[in-house]
Amino acid sequence: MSGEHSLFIWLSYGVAAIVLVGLWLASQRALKGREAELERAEAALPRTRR
Amino acid sequence: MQRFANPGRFLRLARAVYPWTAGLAVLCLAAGLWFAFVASPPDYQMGETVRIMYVHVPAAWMALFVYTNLAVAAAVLLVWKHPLAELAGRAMAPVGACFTALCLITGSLWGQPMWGTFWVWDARLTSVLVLFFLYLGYIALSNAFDDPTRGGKAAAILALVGVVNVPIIKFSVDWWNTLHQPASLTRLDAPAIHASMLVPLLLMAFGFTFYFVAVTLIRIRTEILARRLRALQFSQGASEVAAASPRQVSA
Repeated sequence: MSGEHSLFIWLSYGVAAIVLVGLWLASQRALKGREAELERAEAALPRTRR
Repeated sequence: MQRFANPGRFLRLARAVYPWTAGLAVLCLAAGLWFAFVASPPDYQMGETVRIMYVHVPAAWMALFVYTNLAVAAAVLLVWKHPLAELAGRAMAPVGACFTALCLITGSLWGQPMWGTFWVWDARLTSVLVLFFLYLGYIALSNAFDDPTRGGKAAAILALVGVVNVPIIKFSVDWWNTLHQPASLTRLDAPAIHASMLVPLLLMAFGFTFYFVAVTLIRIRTEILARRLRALQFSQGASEVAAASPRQVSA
């Protein structure tokens, strides 16, 4: 798409893509991080109880 | 409903539902983008810039929809003190803030070619900016306390007070003289928009809704795991203190 206002249109969709994909990836990354942290903490649990 | 509010049961449900909501979000957004860029015509007045509507309007709807959900979760937390409602609120707030930011940014990018300015302090734009600050306030307040439960309650009160802004945003274009156009789809009579533009608008709106559900499910799972981790660390710390205490006494 080309035209005098195409910059505004592409900027709108570009910002939307960056925000939505970025939030999705950041949320996934946080979940994986928490899962790994919890796994490590649970693995350490029997040693501390002994 | 109470059955699914159990965190363990919710985690199982969230794992099962997530792939479907994520898949539907991708499908709806892909179809919506195709209609928005290829199958829909330019507007007879706005020209090609009408295509900004397909991302701006659904983002605005989501900003209000997410905040309404946030207020419901806040009410459930304050009335029934259900911990999952607090986690849901924490999970939803950043998603709502992102949709509100998107609404403001794309609105500015649409305003410049149409109105000749990126911003005016009119009722609709200002009330949406207030909504963005309410989201930021909720996020800041919920993380401002050492005890997350206290933070959740304080933020829930803010969310409930701020819900008064939702009807103000909705009716601002009717109550005040604004530069922003009035509602064209959510009117009581027939929508003032042609089917060729309505289809991409609704597809993008459904895509955003499924996206919201998918990302919120991920974030609630993260919050539940964070609470488990905190409880585990707390009990580990308590048992270490208990184990160390007799030795210290004997020493």
